[in-house]
Amino acid sequence: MWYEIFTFEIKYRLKRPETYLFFLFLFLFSLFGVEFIFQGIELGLVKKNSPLVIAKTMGAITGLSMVIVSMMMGIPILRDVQHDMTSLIYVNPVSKKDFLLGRFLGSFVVLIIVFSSVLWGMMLGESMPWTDPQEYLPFNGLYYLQPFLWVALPVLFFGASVFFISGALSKKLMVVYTQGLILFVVFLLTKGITNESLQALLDPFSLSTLSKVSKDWTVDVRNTRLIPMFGIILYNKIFWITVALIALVLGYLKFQMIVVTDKISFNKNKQTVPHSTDRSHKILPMVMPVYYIRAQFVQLLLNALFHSKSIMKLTSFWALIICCYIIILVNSVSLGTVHGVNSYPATYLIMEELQELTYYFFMTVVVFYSGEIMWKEREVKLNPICDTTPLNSFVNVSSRYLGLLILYAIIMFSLIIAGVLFQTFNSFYNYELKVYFFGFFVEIFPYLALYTSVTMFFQALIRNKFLAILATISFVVINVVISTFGLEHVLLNFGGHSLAGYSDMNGYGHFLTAYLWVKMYWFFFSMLLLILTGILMENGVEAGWKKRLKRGINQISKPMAIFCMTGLSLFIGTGTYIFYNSHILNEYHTKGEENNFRAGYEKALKQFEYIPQPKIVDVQLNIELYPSKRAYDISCQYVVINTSQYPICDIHLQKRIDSKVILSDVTFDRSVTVNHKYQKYHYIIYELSQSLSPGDTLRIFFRQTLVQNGFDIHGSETDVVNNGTFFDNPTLPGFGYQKKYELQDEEDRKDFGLSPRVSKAKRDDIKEWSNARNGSDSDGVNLQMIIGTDSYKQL
Amino acid sequence: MHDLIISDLSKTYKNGVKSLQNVSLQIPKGMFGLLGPNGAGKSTLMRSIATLQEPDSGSIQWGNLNILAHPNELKKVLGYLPQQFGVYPTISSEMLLHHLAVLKGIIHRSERKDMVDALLNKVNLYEVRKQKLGGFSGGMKQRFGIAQALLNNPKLLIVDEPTAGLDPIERNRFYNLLSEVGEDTIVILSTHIVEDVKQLCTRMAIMNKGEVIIRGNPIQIIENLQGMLYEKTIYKNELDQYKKEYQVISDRFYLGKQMIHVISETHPGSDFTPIKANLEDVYMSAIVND
Repeated sequence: MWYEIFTFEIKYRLKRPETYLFFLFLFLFSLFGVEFIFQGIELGLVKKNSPLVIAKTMGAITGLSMVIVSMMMGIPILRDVQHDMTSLIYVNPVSKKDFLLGRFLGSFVVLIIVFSSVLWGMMLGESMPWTDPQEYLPFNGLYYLQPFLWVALPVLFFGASVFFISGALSKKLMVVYTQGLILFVVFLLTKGITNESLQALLDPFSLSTLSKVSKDWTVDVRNTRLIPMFGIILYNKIFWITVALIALVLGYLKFQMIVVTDKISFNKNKQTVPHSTDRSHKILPMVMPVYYIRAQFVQLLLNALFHSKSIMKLTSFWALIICCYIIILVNSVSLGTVHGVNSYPATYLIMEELQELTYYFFMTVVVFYSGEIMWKEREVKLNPICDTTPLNSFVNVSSRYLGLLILYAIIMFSLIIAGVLFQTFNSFYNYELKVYFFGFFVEIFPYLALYTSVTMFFQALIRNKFLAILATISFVVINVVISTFGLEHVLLNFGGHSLAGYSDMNGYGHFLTAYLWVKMYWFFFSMLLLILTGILMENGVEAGWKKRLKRGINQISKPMAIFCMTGLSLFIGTGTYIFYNSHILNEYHTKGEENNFRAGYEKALKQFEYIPQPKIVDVQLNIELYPSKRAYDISCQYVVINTSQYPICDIHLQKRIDSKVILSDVTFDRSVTVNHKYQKYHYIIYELSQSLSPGDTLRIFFRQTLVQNGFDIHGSETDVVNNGTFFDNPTLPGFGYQKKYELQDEEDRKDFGLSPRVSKAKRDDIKEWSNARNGSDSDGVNLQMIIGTDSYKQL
Repeated sequence: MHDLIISDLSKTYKNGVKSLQNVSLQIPKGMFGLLGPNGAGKSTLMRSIATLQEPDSGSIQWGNLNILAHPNELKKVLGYLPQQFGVYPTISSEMLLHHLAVLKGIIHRSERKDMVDALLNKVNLYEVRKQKLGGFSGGMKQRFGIAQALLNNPKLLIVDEPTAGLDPIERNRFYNLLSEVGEDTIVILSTHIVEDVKQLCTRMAIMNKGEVIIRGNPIQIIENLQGMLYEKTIYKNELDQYKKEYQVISDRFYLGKQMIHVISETHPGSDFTPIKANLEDVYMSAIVND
């Protein structure tokens, strides 16, 4: 009998579109698998298709895809409940064993077929046009197959067993949706274990295990050795497979083929049967429904509260919160230990920790609960009733949006409380609530708000909860990918840039302005997105998106159209303003342009690298600081001396390369001819009318100013901030070629045909001898400095 | 009040099922019964009037209001009880009614509370108003559905199979409520229970296979059949024979014997007994003839 159920399950699954979508999704993901998983990790000489790298990537992909495993394995039993089929199915003379075994094995076979896409995707990924053959070994199928069978497959079996059983026992869709995440949380928990062997044993995805196994491997071994099938990795696999088997057995014992469980009937008994105290003779009162703007605003608020309340009534929500708290608790043990010294649990440290730990948690809440909140009526089939109410579709969508924002705020407040409690327990009472508040509501909240609008949009467009979640994830990935392909700009990359870290000394400093402007720009974008979402949500009509869009647009009222136009013009307006500030008032370079510039600099000026230049012996500075304007005005006199054995005819002055820094009034104690040939590189050659003989001195006078124009999105300089300064000698002009402006990345250098950089000069490299200390401009100076600043500032 | 005028409404589903075929109806104030077997297109028609579904062609006009072009205007005065609906299991009926009232634009708290309380009383759910909806029985849920349809004093009330799952007492209570509301409202009641229409409706239509086959006042409709209806008790194995020879509109068992009703202009024979027509016969004859 089980075999019939088994084949039916496979046939059924192969008819479902999700099966193919999951396959496609994993396949595409795996094409970029190694790049994505090892993003920002230097592999060095280890090749990208070595068994170890493949194994780690497969482990990570299966780990990240636990949600898919859950969707596929949690459903088989639940499906009957969802479609009200239980009574028809359970009444048949099928034994529990056959039923469960058939469903489990059938689904598991399909799961393996789906996840084999990881294998195919990664194999194909090796020969994609963008790969660099130097980073790869010659293709070897075994290097893929062995890690798949030994690393990924047991993980899948474990996930499949546990999810199958929990789906079958709970019979709740929300459990299926969240359990994949919970396993991910378990994984994060193992990261907090300090004992390396224990961590390696307990890591459900075997990532730490692989790291531990390969710790002492040489590059050669890393490139060629298959994943060992003994030692810690074997124990790790045995451990998790045992857990899986225990789950299967327990689940088998607990599962009952009955429709009504005791729990439900217990609830029914509790219910009080009403005695008819008949008050029905009363005439119904008259009500006056209203639809003006203010009423819609009230609707918005009341609905938002309703939506957030109803999510807070979900068990899954609290389960997530508790998981989040547990992670924090586990991780906070090692909080703020720097160089082996325990720091005070200062608020900004706690905040950093909280941000880091809750990032994924928040993204999960965004993605899942936006799906939940968008389709809550449809889920319980209340939609025919709600869809016939005259609720404005924008009010409808934005109340859900607002409901989620309320939810985020509540979670944030509870995390703040957790942080404060932690501080209190550690006898630290300087709470700095402002830091908490800013950390959550300025740094994280805007992102959540922005991404919520995106997920809601996809939900409305696609009308399938799960596919929309996949679409959102793809959107996030695309957003990252386009920036690596050169399309990096805050006005193009959704959500803009993140805020430079909070400093105990000056908060977010001047970076906040630019940050807020960009967030505002994207906020207007998401308003437009929400309007579009409202149009697509157009009540009740089940139709393709084009038809819904058309119908929705026909419904747009005049005030709505005005609102829409206002949003659009604000979006364009802020965008223009940001562009004006970052491109016209300030200079903006893409990564490519910057590389070009650096390569050009090296090609044009490398010839001057070792030309004799004088050394500074005496500096007189008159510095006027204007912290409120983040500006300075420096008048300076250098006394320089020719320490070389040759007369110096030209002084090569390299101004700091920054359009905001202006060098002016450069004069010498003798006449000079100015050569502007390398002006492009802020490099000016002054040909002395009377050369500087060895041992002679020369005076140079100049004025250097720093002026801020508007706000600069990309600038990260902190020379002068609103309450202080942070600059030293390299700020002032130097002599000759500056190595620091060279292109650093060897790959990039290769692209421009530049020879590799020498990291350390040879001991007997005479030319480098002159660059002994502090760059090359001086061997020590006498310094006289007069500083002026705003009256209320301290230095 | 204006009549609701439905003209030439047609809808064909993607799978080729012609759910509505040139349906035209004029529905005045009062109770309007829509009879028909399962799959006759009643629900499609009602969903179209409730703006939940777009017909392929045709129009629905109410006074100056073109319902298909301005669904939101209709929704302001619409009450709708769908054939199938669900509720949030974790919240109470009171909370959900308040929520739905807000959606319908009843934003003042006191006004809303009066209405919700009155309705909970009307449908006899007041005692259990704090109970989670997940624990409601089918009949209780149906009563909740009735209450929500009346929240905004609708001018157009559409109730799709409203008495399904109600026991006789609750059904009676519901009839009373409907007729009370129906005094100055257009109420469209769809059902396949002939009894419902007979008790409540002043006007009715019978639908079959997406078409309206009979419309009018129930009494007149019955009148048209008067004097043409005969009854006979036969053996079960004779049924096919009779079906060939006579226009049999219904065959059923009565006290264990096979009983047939036939229509005939003239007396079909002495072994047939003439009977008085009732709505059920009208319904059966309409559907058999169609």
